[in-house]
Amino acid sequence: MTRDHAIQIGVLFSSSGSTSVTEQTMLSATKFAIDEINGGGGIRGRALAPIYCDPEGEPELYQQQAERLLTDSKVRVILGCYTSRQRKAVLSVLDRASGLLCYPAQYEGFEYSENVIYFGAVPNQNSLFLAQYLLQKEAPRLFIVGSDYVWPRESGRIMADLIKSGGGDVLGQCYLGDDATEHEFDALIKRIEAAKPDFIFNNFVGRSNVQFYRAYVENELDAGQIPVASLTTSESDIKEIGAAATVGHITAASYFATQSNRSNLACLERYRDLRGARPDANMCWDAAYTQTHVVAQAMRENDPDNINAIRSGILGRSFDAPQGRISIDPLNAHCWVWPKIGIARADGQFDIVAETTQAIRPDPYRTTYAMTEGDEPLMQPSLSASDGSYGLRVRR
Amino acid sequence: MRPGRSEPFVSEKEQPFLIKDLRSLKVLLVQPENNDGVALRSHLERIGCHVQEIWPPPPSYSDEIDIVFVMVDRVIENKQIFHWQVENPSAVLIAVIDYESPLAIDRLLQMRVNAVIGLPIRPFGILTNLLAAVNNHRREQRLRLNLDRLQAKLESCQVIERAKLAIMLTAPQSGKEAYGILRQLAMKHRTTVEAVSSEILSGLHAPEGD
Repeated sequence: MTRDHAIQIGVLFSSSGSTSVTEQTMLSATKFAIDEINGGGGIRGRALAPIYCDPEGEPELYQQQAERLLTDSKVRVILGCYTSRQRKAVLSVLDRASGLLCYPAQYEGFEYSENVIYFGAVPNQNSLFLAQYLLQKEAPRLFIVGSDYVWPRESGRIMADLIKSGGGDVLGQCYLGDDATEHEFDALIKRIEAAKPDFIFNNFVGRSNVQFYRAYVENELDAGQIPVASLTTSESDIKEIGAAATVGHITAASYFATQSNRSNLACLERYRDLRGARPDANMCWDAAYTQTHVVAQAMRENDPDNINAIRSGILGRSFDAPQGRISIDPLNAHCWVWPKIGIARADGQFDIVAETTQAIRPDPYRTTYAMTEGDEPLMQPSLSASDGSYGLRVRR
Repeated sequence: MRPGRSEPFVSEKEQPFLIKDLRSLKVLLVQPENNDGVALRSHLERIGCHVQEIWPPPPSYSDEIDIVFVMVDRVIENKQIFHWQVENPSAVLIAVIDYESPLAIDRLLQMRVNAVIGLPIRPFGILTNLLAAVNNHRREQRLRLNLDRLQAKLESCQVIERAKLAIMLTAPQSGKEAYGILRQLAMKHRTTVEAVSSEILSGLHAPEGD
């Protein structure tokens, strides 16, 4: 493998700034996958040469650095971005400079670009299953909270629809800005306590999420009183928050590090062999690892310098990911994933208490969310007759 | 009276066609087989609409169809004719165009298109454009319906007024009393005041007519 013949690839994850906690797990997974790819002979004998950038969580920097990667470095594929604002900032550059972004985060859907492949879950692959789980309690009453931007509000709207259609109720909704103070979080928790919900649905991200759980604990609440349900609080977030504050709380995700399937165990073992320690693995780690290998496979089987050949090589491709066997939907370029429900443990890992029996088709443009839609084909393949809980198979 | 209050016949509430109803929409694409057509169809399917395709342009459209997309420049190049009920369209019309020249724009305005999408197909914006066009079209239909009702009401008022005048001319009665007579006649014959009025007037006119 000669360096001058290497295939350059852009890596756009922040190791500093407000979103770095999650993005560092994505970065670590990407590095690991690239080492595996190069260790296995690279792409038809050519090394995959990553160009790492640190956009510090700032959308403008993602845009500038993506532009530099695509024009100066002649990179064709970029692995990166975490929030929707970061991804939207990169979109315009991708179009102009004909680049392909592989995006490993869950997001709110309603996007399709010929320049993006989406590896994270969309609401029909996580919110829907979290709602099914919460609705196992009869007529649950929710209090919905989150950061104040597109994703949390959209996620809150969907969950409210689902819970109401399933016979539950929403007692209140509150969204706080990124600059919200300790005092504001304290006031929010007191407001929730007064409302006495059965669950809190939490869509805070980054630093706000840490503040939220801390305020929750400081008000002497625990999961036995009001459990917190989330789509984002993963193993790496818990490391930052402190496991004591999250014990017993619920997270819906396409991957948990405690999965006992062979592809996950083998992957974690390969990581330990290579790095000498356990990875800080979570759903984003899984998606970032997966997308790097999927790109490499597509490059191996097609012209690795031709963006269109790589893209069509990715569409329809399957891969034995740590979360389970995934594939990329050829129509909408999103990923078929395996939804699961985890309950946080004292060691910061999750006990998986429910999961689907097969990968769930992505439906990024799904506009209605109700539990009563008998004609909804998405739920059919995962119907589990044993417990009647729609797509979820509950572990006992 | 404030403008907002001057619509006494609005019976339907102004209910916008919302995004949640999107997947009930039936879409017909009037386009020949080509890559742009595939791109448009794929995106509409991605969104979740029911999509059918037809080529060449048909002489008319079923009422089942909610939205018609037509590739205007393909119609012209292939010397086809696009038939469309401009005055009373059965569906929303969205034009897909290559050219934005004055002549082309003029043609679109003549066709009274509800929205325009440019080629090559870019997925972003199609969903929003589509929903805005559907809403505008439905609002126009509602306004048209209200206008028709108003027109009918106006004509009916004129007939009743003239019948009242005829009654007032036969005996010294007030307009209110004349209307009371008309109403009693209508109740007796189980019909409307307008029908009674119109009968009285035609009785008056008959001898003069022939």
